[in-house]
Amino acid sequence: MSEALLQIKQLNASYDGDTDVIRDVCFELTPGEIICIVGESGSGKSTLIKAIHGMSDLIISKGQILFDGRDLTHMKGNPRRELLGTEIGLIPQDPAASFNPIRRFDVQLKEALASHSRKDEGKAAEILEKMGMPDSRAVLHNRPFEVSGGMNQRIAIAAAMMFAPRLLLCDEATSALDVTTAGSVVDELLRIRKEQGTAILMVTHHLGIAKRMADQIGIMKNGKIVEYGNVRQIFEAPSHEYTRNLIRDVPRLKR
Amino acid sequence: MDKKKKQLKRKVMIAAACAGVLVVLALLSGVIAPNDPYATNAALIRKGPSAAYLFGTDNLGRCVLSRVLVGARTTIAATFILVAISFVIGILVGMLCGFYGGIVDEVMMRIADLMLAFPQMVVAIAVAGILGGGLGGAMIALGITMWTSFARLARSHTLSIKNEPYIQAARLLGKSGPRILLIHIMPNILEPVLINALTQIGTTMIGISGLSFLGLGVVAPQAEWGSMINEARAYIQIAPWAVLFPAAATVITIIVFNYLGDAVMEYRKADQ
Repeated sequence: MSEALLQIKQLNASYDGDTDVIRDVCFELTPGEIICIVGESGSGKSTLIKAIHGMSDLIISKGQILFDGRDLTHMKGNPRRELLGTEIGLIPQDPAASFNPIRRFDVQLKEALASHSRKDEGKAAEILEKMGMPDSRAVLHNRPFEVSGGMNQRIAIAAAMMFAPRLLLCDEATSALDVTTAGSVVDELLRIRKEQGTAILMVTHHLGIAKRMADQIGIMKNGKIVEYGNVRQIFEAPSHEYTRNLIRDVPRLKR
Repeated sequence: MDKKKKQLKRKVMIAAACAGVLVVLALLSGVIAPNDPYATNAALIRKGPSAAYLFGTDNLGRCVLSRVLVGARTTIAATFILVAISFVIGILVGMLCGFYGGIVDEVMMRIADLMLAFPQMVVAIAVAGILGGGLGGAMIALGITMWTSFARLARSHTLSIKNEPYIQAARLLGKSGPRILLIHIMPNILEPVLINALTQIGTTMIGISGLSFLGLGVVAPQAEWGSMINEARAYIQIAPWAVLFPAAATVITIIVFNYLGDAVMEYRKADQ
């Protein structure tokens, strides 16, 4: 097994400094691996993403986050900023809110590129074309409110992949989309992993998505990872009661 | 576009066209006024409407039509300037309060609450009384309470979008606060605040004319609808036209601008 890209060690984090929203979270992500963290609303999934990404309103009370050997736990300001985008990409939950709704995509992407002193403006269009979106330059001339949610999310993926980061964080990246669109977004993520070896950490409440893309699955409940294992283990021999309930509660078509 | 939206759009277009006509009339009043609005004529005191003086003449023999037209410029220009200034101050204060929060936010919003606790006209009469007559004084008197509605609206919309991911993303990109306010927040909150500005035009016009009517606004002999009504009401039984026409102009203008504001608001609601 190759060296871990991301290591989460005994991580505790809170919003107010008192109540820990996530507790004793531990796992490791190797390059090219996909880990899905599954859990219900309020279980702390998005907080985990925020802790790794370094959103400013979160307090890490215990534990460590290591990215490629570098300690991210309390890294702030410019060093953190340089990592975000270039090394760590984020696909946010709500595709419609991830862009300024009334500015053109290309203008916004250009701004993101400029902030990392880069100018390869065709990059996002190139990525979109690879996603099977012909005429991508014209698409990027639109404003977010003019295109569909699925399109927004694809452009968000393209934006996250502009710098070819080694780690992609997906915060419920498919939950605002309909099933078919969500499926094609998952396909895109799998293709990106295959072609570029990007490691993906995806949090979702959708077991089906996790089953389809993950190498490893962590089941999260009340801020703790209650079960962790590979897809087969989780689905075929779940050891925790909560996991069994989750699997049982997935709606199925009855014949 | 469904039928209802089409209807609403037509309503907006009609209201905008009417408002446009009024504004053009006001702007061109100097050119289209048939007579000198300030020229007195002792031989033509309180003459009824005729071909030469379509709206009749007032107590000093001045052409009422010309005075109504020139008065339109005073009233409409003062209203627009006042709404624009309140808009700019209100949106700036609201955005800064909403975005940065803290003590400044608390203080500014309590001041705004204080202003809103009094009826606008009462504050305006008091302030205009202290400042003495004049259009400028009347505008300041009305503006003192007017900015608050813009500020509160801008603040609440800023609060609702300041934690959106794209604003966070801009912060993470290292963009400065003023830049985020200018590029990301202002364009996104502009629409509700602009619609508020439209709906405020009618009220402001009543305010300015009202203060002038009470003698706290425009000073004679400058033509302004409120002060014209005030002057002419003394001899309303002898020459009702001198009151009627400026009053009609005021009512029509206020209805048109209120209608425009309502129509735009309805149209945007239907859009959402």
